Amino acid sequence: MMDMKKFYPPGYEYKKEWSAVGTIFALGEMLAFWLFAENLHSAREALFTWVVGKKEIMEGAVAEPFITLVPGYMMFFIPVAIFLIVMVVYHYFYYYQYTKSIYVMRRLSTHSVMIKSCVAGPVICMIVGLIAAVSIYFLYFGLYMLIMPNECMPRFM
Amino acid sequence: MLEIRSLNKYYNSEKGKVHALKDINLTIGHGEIIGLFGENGAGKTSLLKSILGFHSYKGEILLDGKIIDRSNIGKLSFATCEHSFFPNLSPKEHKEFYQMHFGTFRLKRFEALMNFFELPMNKPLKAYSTGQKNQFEVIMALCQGAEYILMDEPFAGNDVFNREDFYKVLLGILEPEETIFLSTHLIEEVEHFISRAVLLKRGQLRSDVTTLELEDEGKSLMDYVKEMYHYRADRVSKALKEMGGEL
Repeated sequence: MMDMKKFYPPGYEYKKEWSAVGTIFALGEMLAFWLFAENLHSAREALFTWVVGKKEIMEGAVAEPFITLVPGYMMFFIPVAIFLIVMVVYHYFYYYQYTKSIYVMRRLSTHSVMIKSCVAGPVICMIVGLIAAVSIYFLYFGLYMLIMPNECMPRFM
Repeated sequence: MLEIRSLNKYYNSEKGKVHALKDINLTIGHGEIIGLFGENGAGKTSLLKSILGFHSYKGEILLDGKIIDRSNIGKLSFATCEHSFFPNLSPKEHKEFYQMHFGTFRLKRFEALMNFFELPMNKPLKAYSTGQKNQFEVIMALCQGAEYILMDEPFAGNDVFNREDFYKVLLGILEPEETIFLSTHLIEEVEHFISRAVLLKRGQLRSDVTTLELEDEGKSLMDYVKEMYHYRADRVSKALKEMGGEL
């Protein structure tokens, strides 16, 4: 397991930050999933018709392309990105909290140590979040493939 | 050698532009222990922070002939009453941080001072008492391995015995090339500890004198400071008399 402490200001309680990011991410994903589920359900229902009390696929019916069911999916990641940008600034001001540890950081031979401590954690968090978001996107695609009837799949999907 | 040439420092306040340091010229050599004195607002902290590059200024500050930047700032350490340690870290973690970032870190000195002052090694600094925090602040400044150790009222909040211990320990552990530049109001306490006294008054360098020179003149440091500040001994009795008259 990677020691995440080294990517944050010394003594910074980064786990709280990760919990907050996780919560924002989960809320966004829940909303995204709810919209996707609604769209998926409507798109599937549009393929069927009732014939004498029996549900049947309409002749020549083509499912809506997957991409139209998750419009602006990555929009849900924007709050996470904004939060992480704010955290970069917060990490800098952490050096002014309770003491002026900024005085130690400004005496280090390389400026990069302080920059890294402010930026690296949120960047890693952002990458992990993006990987998770893309993975979930593919999960949605799997669901789409599973739920939509094979014969109704669009040609260039 | 630390050379301060024509140092001027301005800052903006509610009352307008303040000239905090006025044309300061000062040279500090290796191995000196210098007391920096002056009334509140005289510019002591501004001077120290300008040396460290924490404040912008006009003029020139050179360390061994070079402008102070990232390449040589490690030769300076700083202990301040504002404290500059990481509050969530323990001394052990500070030791690791300093060892990683200051190649000159004095491990033996650190361990000896931590033992002497009986400071817990694994307790986060935020859980220390004010006195212990001050002690730790000074310990880190002494152990960074800097050639010039700048201190700004480092003992504010420590009891007199504790301060006394510190002066003795300091004199015992300092190596000949280590320089101390100590800003304090505790004039009488540090009189026998320092070798030179620098006096600031309203941002100007009022006096720069060695304690040997004072000894030769038969003056105590306190008397000298009072003289430089034109301290009127009868001021209090006069004021009390006037107030008494009104009452």
